[in-house]
Amino acid sequence: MSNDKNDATFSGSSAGSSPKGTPSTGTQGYVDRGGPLPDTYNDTLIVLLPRDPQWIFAYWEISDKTREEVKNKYGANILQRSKPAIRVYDVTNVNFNGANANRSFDIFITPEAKNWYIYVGMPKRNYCADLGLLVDDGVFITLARSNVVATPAGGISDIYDEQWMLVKDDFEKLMKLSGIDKIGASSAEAMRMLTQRLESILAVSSKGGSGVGALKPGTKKGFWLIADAELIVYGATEADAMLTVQGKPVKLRPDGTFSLRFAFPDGELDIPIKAMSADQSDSRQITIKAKRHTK
Amino acid sequence: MQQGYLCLVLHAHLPFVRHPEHEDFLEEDWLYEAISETYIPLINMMDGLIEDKIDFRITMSLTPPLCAMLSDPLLQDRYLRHIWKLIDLAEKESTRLQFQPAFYPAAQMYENHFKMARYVFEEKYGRNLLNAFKKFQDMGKLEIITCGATHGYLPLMLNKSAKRAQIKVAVQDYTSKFGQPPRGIWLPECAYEPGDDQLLRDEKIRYFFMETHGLLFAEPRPKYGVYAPIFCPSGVAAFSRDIESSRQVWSAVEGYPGDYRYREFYRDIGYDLEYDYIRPFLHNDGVRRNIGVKYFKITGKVALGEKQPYNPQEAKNAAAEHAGNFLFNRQKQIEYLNGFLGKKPIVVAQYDAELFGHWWFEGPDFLNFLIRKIACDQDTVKMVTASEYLKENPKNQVAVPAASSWGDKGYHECWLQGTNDWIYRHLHKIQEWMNELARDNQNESNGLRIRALNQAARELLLAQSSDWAFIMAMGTMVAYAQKRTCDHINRFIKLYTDLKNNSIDENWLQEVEYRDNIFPSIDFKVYL
Repeated sequence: MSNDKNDATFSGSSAGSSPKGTPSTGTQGYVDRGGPLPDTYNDTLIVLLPRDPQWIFAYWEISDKTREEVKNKYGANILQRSKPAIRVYDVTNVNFNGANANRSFDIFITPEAKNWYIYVGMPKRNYCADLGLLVDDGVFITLARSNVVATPAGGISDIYDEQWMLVKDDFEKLMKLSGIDKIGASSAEAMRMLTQRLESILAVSSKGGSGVGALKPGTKKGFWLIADAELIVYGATEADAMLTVQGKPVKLRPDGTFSLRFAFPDGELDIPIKAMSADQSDSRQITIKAKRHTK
Repeated sequence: MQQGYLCLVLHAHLPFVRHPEHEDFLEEDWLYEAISETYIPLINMMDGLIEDKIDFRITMSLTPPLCAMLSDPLLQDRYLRHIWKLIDLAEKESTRLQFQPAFYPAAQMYENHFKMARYVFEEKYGRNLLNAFKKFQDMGKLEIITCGATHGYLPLMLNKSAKRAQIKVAVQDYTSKFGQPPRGIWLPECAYEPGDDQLLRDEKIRYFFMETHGLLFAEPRPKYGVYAPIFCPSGVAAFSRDIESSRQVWSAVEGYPGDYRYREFYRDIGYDLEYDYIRPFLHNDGVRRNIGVKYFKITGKVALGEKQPYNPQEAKNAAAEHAGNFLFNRQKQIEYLNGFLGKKPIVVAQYDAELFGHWWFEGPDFLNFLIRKIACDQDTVKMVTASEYLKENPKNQVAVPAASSWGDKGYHECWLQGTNDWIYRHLHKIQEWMNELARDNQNESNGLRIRALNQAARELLLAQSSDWAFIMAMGTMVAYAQKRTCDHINRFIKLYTDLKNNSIDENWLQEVEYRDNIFPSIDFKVYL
């Protein structure tokens, strides 16, 4: 955490990526993911986060200092004699003191792991966890104790409110009206919708589109030919003149030149070009007629 | 006779993306596209309704990062540059396509659309669209609510002071921009856990919106389901989303935006037209991307190459049809619920604002037709804001809502999974350090140190945006989200270290202040 972070904090340019939510068409060029974050903060801790009614998440860290202390206290080979473990406590309605949990269970973790998703399977319960070492003789050495988290309710409450009670049938009907059978499919709705639409398009597409107007190179099996035409009209006049093409004003370049591009489908095209001098005293007109016939 | 209420809520949010250090920055397009395609069309719709004396009520959350970007001079300049470029392109396209009757109406539509956007942005509202929204709020038609300061995901913040700062900073920012404190809030990602309502109460926020099951799973059981709000024990009201009105709009299969007459999002001239012609309108790197000019309609289940030309008038008719269908369904729903509940139900329809216009191009037309039909064609349904509803219905059941979010599967998994769970150990650590800094420096009088402390608060807030975790989970543009997370955390760590060592690097600090300039008047003591 020295000043050499200086550069890392300012690294970067625009990464090649697509606009918000557009399914990726692949990234191009230089990709910058930012400077690295610290590997460790030299803490000994375990933290729990709720994920959903059945699962919680734990991350932890054991500092070198803690490791040394454990070795000093329990013998140099303590790490060989024990397995790292997380002891998860159900502390619902309990003022937890380390010994009064409703129940607990252990999870063995690999020494390299830094986090774990833990299945608790019980909505609306409170959990706490100890990070520690389970020694061969069954002793659990606690290194750190976590915060307490609550799993979400995940279902309709079985507690009624006297004042507001509704008969059971009516309540079930109401829940159905409220859309309880459709819950849990809402996030990133636009993204999901667009992605599904894209998938359905890709399912019927073998390749992307081609130019507007004259579509369809058809299948690209074997020998093939694509041809199309557009029309470019160009010219020049006095730089301060006013120019219209087909009655619409056209902006001249500083040197008085202009260039316009037209789609050119089959048929006839009439392009009147009119220049008017700046003082409106003089004008010139040229009309270009073009005809296309594709066979 | 009026039988119930419709509360239309649009959540307008974009993460803070502003890169003065780059002349041309791809991700800033999110803002420019949302301005042209969503915010200005909605503003035009509201101006049109007022002009025609059509009464309406809309609730909109304008998040603090979005407000910061909309009122930022650099981004305002860049938006103008962006829209002028599109006008140039649209003019060329009108000329190019004038003899193609199948495409010409759309080409003209884009030309008008971009020119109108430029006019409304620059001339009508003086480059700052917040002026428009504030005007509608002051007229009583629009209720603007706030959100977390940087859209931070509250249930995954360990520490209460971190949550409190998200709310407090948002309320201060809102008050400075809209001249009154916010009455309501859109919780970031609708993510709630019991107890969060107390933090809202402390900042005098009276109501919030949540996902359907947050209310259905409340304890005790909610007597009226989602069709009436509940009061949390703190006294803050919780409203929640009606699934039916969402599905009609959102569903990929049954939803309106998939109608064959609407504009096809995936056929864009950024990919379709000849490279040399389109190159000047692409980003500096020259990679083909969407430009926002699209000439085809959805057509049906056909390959991209077989899409038919887009007809703006036909699409508008479809929007009117769908608005009529939506209203018909709400009328039937409200009549039925009224009979069943024995009181006027409130149907809360919550959407991402950017759905309307950006994703669903005709969405603003749909809303416009819907609001006009509600005002003129019937009297079963009345549009209402949450504040008005609470005024008319002050007695509500007391219950504790359930932890929930509007994310995939309804809980926290979208923001806590293999792709993004690594961020939390760092975020929690810098939260803790921020508290330490605030505590140890609360009597600080040195100007430079105070600047560093305030910047540390900004970096922490920016790192907390739920957008970064969301983008990592979605799998597109992941590198940018990772970079933003790492950059803000690293900037924070350097500020923390420098403050501890009393060795503040002023030049560096100035550069960071210049880049991450959100919340100019923040006070780090919000973390005390």
